[in-house]
Amino acid sequence: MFETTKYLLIVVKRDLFKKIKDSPFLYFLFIVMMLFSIVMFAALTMLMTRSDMTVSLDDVFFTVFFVFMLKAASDTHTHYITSTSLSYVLSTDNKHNRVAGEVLLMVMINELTIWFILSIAYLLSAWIIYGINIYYPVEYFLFTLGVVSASMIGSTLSMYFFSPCRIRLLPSMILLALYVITRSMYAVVLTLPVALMHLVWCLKNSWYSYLFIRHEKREQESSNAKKRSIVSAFFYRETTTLWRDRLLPSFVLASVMTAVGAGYMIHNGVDILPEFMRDRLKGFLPSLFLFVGVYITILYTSVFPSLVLFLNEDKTMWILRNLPLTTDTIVHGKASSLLLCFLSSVPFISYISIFIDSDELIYLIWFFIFSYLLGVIVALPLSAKYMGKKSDVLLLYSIAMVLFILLGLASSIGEYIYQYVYPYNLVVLSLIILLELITLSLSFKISAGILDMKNPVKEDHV
Amino acid sequence: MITVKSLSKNYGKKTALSDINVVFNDGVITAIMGENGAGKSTLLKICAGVIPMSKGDVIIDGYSIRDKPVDAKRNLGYLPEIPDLYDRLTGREFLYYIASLRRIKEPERRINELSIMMGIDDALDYELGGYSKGMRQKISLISSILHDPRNLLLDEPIYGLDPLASRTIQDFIDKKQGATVLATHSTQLVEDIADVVYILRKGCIIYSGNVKEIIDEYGSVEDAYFRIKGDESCLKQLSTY
Repeated sequence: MFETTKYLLIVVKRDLFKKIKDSPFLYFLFIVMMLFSIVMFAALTMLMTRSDMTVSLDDVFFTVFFVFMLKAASDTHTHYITSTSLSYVLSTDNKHNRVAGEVLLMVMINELTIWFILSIAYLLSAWIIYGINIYYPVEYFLFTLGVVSASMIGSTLSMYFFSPCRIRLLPSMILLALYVITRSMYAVVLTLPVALMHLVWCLKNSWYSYLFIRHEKREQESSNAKKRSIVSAFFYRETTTLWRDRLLPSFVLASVMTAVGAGYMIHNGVDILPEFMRDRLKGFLPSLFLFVGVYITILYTSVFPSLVLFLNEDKTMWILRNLPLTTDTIVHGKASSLLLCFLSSVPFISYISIFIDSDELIYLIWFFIFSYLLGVIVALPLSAKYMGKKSDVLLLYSIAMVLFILLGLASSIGEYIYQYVYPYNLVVLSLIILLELITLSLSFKISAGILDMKNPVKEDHV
Repeated sequence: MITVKSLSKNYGKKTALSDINVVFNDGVITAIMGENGAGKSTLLKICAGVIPMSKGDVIIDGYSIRDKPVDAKRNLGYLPEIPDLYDRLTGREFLYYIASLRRIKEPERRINELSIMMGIDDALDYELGGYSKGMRQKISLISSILHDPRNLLLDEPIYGLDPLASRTIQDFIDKKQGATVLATHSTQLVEDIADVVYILRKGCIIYSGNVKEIIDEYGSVEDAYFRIKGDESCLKQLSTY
């Protein structure tokens, strides 16, 4: 009974332990950052409970709901839709919808385990460190039901998105629309039976989602296949993959959305603060929201693409390894694609400029370029170091936290220079960018060194 | 010519290859046989510069793969056992990508010629993610011989190929002037095209011999494979390692 679920749970557990064994420092950093985030969330909760800040429980509920929904969709994609190892289970006399059901059960166990660990750690830190009353059993139960619902809806979304019949996504979309309109956690809890029925229906049609591959013919684009210089060949290959995986358009869209969101917060963010804090923080908040906007934008247009440059190579690295190319050429060639990723982040500057004045804009452009380069400097060597480890989320989170601290410092120093070193401020800031470019070339060198065959690298994944 | 000098490879405490010394001469087709996990693919990967060695060196046409990898790889074609490819590129884009990185002059003619020869010209504009196993093998094979290399390292070259493509690649290998090394389980392929055979066991070469002489002595390569015990002194050293 539940053999597939047990097998997948063992695989997930072993995979986690192997990663911890392979990259102990990275996991240590990850755990420290997780604990830091939990304590920070607890501190934020304390701040909210002791002031008249108005963040509703429903807002928190839906944040948790959507995070777990995305995680469930991603896990279903990994463990069912693209999992070749499932073919062994599917070739037995078990019914395919039963196998799919067991996979989804594993996804739900996974989500609930993460939910219980994180929520209990958060509640304990809020209670022990800040003395907040954490006895809200009904709310906790509702949140847990929300995670169950998110897992079910996330799984069905993933299943139907990767199937030839996307119209079946409609019930999930209607449910989500209902949640957005009502903005009430009771809507999620009361429609739980509907989500369950939809999941059962989804399992009946799960076969079409398994190993869903689009055999696309690209005859019209065949003229793009031509001989190029080495760097432009790398650029074409990397950006074609980004484009066909719909990542580049999503970067542009995310840049615009972040700019609009940050702009809105710059104008209206002060309103959520309690009365006594408004005067003290109203000068500081616009800078904070600008910082957060830049930070979020560079995470997905600089850090993420830099990380996937080598993390995703894994088994295809033989193609580059057997070619007469130096590791320097490989790093430079692949990194050239980041230029296009940078361009995809430019809409952030264009849209945010609507909300700020021109004086601030010059500083913002400097800080944006600085942050973008810093993202590449930190992420690229780690991408080469952990090639094929497939711990993108873990690395992304660890780097995000390191960058948060570094950029926080850089932002303060940069703003000080911009305001107090006038009229030489732009010269000094340009020199800093120049220094950063030198560091960037050093980062390329380090990445190339890590990839170099002379180094005794761990290559058990090759 | 490919010279393998005192080559060893360890994965942690596990020894994959132990002190391999062998010369793959020009104009000679060498087959490497052995049970699963004997170290055949590892040997080819190291010779191709795909994974690093723990000790020793590999010299290809006078260039060390360790010290002069770019020069050593220039005249080398490598086909892995399981060719993972860029799923989002089309076959045509992939071949032009390889041609650009290898700086092949006028690759159009060569790509058309080879893709027709392998019977894959109709599928060149499809994304590689949709290719069947045999089609992936064919496109990888084309990519490894696109620059007409003197030396070839082919890991299970006819695995998954249809008879026509299999015959085509055998004819191609037969005409090569440089060193050709095949890692294979197919005794038929060894009999058909190989001149020399090496048998690997647990990372050691336990036997080497001329294919014609083996057939004369044992009747067939398959019979010889089961009857040859070979020199297992290397294995004894390994067990005390």
